[in-house]
Amino acid sequence: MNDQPSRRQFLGRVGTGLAAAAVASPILAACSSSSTKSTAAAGSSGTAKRGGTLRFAVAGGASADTPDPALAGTSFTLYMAANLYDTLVRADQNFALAPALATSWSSTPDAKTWSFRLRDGVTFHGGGKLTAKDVAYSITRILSPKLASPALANISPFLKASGISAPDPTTVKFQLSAPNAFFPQILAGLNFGIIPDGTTSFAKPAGSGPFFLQEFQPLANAKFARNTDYWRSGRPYLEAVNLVSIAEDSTRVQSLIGGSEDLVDNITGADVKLLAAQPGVQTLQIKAGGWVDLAAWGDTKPFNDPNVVTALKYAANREQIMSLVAPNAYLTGPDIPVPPSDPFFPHGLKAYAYDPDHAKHLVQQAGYQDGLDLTLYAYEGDKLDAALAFKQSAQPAGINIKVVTWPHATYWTQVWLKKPFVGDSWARLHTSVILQSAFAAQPNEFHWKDDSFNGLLTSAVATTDATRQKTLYGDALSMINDKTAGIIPGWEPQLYGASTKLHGVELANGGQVFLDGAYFA
Amino acid sequence: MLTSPRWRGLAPYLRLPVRLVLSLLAVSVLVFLLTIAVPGDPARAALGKAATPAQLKAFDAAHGLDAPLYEQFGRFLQHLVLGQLGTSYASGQSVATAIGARFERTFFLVLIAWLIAALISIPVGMWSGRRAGSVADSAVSGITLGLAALPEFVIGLLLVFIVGVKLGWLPVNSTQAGYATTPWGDFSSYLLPAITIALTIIPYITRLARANAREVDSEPYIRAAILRGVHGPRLTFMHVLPNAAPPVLNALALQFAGSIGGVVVTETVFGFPGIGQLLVQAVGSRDLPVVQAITIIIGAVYVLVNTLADAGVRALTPRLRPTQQVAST
Repeated sequence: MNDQPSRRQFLGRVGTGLAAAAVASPILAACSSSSTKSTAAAGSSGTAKRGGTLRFAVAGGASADTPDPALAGTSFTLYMAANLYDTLVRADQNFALAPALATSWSSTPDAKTWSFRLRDGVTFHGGGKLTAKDVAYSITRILSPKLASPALANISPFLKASGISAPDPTTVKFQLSAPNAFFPQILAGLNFGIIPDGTTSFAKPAGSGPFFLQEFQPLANAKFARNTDYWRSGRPYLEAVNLVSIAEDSTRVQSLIGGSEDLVDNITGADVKLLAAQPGVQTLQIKAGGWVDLAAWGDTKPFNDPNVVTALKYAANREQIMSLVAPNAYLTGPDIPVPPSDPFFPHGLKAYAYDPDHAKHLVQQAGYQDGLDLTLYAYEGDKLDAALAFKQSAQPAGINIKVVTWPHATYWTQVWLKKPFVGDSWARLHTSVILQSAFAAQPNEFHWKDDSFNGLLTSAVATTDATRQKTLYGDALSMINDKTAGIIPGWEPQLYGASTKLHGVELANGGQVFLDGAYFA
Repeated sequence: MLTSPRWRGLAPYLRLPVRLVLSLLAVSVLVFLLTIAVPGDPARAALGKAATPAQLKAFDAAHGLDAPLYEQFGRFLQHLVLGQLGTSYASGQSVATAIGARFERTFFLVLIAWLIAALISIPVGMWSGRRAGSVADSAVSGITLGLAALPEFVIGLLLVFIVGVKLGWLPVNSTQAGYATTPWGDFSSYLLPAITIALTIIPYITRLARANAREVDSEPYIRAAILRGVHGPRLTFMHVLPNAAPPVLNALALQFAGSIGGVVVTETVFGFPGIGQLLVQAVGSRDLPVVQAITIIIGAVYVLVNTLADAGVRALTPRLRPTQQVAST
């Protein structure tokens, strides 16, 4: 979810920072240019140097921010959690898992019982050795609805507190209530950072992460210092990290250019062009950071007519829509929530090509001889951009769209899941998670309900056979592309501005920024 | 007692605190009514799109968002009377803790801005008013008119770009102010936002000072002073200024109070960790205790400064002084 900044929403967007960062994790709208570096390149270098303080200016933050990893939701708290804590496993940009606090993990063939073997010799910031009890405690507390963790909705369908056990000090077992072959993906989320058993106060948070917290004022700043006992040998390279909160986009970018910050998040298309023209600065990005969509209720007139749904898909000029949403750095694709780079992307699946004549023909076939009138709701930012561009692209097909700009403050209570045709955007999530939350969950924004689709998802999470998973998800995704009443014109990047001296920053989906490998050259 | 001539003399001074308390009470009620109208859905914002209705409900219950309005108002009034600012829904932290250091920083920021504005606009306005119609006067009028037309965030961003980035004279953003334990601990972080705020006050006060100087200038006692041979700065500052000052001082005081409430934009532009920045975010996340506390503080500053300004103007203007001295002697 992102707020593409503009003067129009100068104050509005600041206030919505919390919601923007939390509801679907930050997808950062913007674009790239020739100076844009892929993070793979930024992340690899053999000449890491010790020392230096990284100054990181962050757009999102809230007065309610806390160093409790289970409650991290704004971008500020997610960055804090990545510095302070470790998860059992870490996921990269395409959800490949790497060991972190767990050195190995495995499941029974039915994907119902998972065990994780813990790393030896990990210590928490306050002292104390990591044991299985700490892991059990950290995961159990997220399952308590009273804590209200944003991760609760992801894990509660699969795990009850009674299913967690610590048979020995280095093994944690999860007996799931429903099979999930991708269970470790959930635990890779920053909310699942491991804290010492019995922790209730976060005034002096103890994690095992690369940095420990020295000072924290919500919605202002957080100071971190190097954890000399960090378990990744030689890391972290930085002596200190200072996070500061700067909601205004221009000030954040000017601070990078002026040299008072080394890393800034949430930059925009205009900023990327600006940065490309400046010496000493670069952009870092995840290309498929998140997707935008125009979602209609497939069970409601006129969208319950397959001709209308197909007409909408043919009436979308994906290039044109995405070039407005994320100039220079967009990807287009079929109407599915999985980008072409993902291992589960169905090979050869193509997007509906823009064909307004055919769309017009389908609209007439559906009985709308004089054209089809629709009302589409969106709030400012990528959603509104997508809606306005689609309006233009659908006009030649005889589809007349009235775009209603709704205030962000009440969008989630009065528009989303309440109006039959809305603009929306989502962070990139693992295939198993996004298909469940955006398409299988009831109600969903597409009013999509299909037993055979649900069957495919259930089978895919219940098998540990990777080839079979790919086939099942391939079928489910093809189904979405053809049948759900939604258009997913493409993907926008997650973008950061950085000093060219800064190397080794690791970016992952959902606004995760890892600094343990970062250093100044 | 109060009717005795002795006590009646104190009545104007007693009236002030009573008026102060009544105004504050009115402000509080208004603030409560306004804040309950703030739209938003903190539960969905915190828990995300995948949250179930039961999980959303649990969040509301845990954060006191499901309490009926009369209960919320009761709690609010109770806190107010006890002088407590309550607990933030969102963080569970005491609101006083959340606001304390921020208020100090904002107050100091506005104070610097206000001093800059007063030191520039009063002399310039006086000087220009005494030369009404001259080229210099027209230039001052043109510049102040131009400044008045510029919104705060434009001034702020221009300063960021020119003074911060291009010239590198002052910090580009004010985030470092949050690390210092005293406002003067990181004074340079205060300057750009202070200048931004000052530039919004200066046009108004300069023009007011100019108009008053011009008016006083045509008074017979000034002509008399000129005929006695008084001229130059002595005439301007010893004769014109005292007579032109009261309305200008009153306006300056109101500008001070107004700036405390108006720092929202400037603080946001510079990432200045004050109450304005907190207020914007608290409105967005519908953290009502924080919103209420900040608006009441702003209201209190307004009422207090206004009251003090009234008293000041009264003291400076002989014909506005209470006549009790005559009555009680």
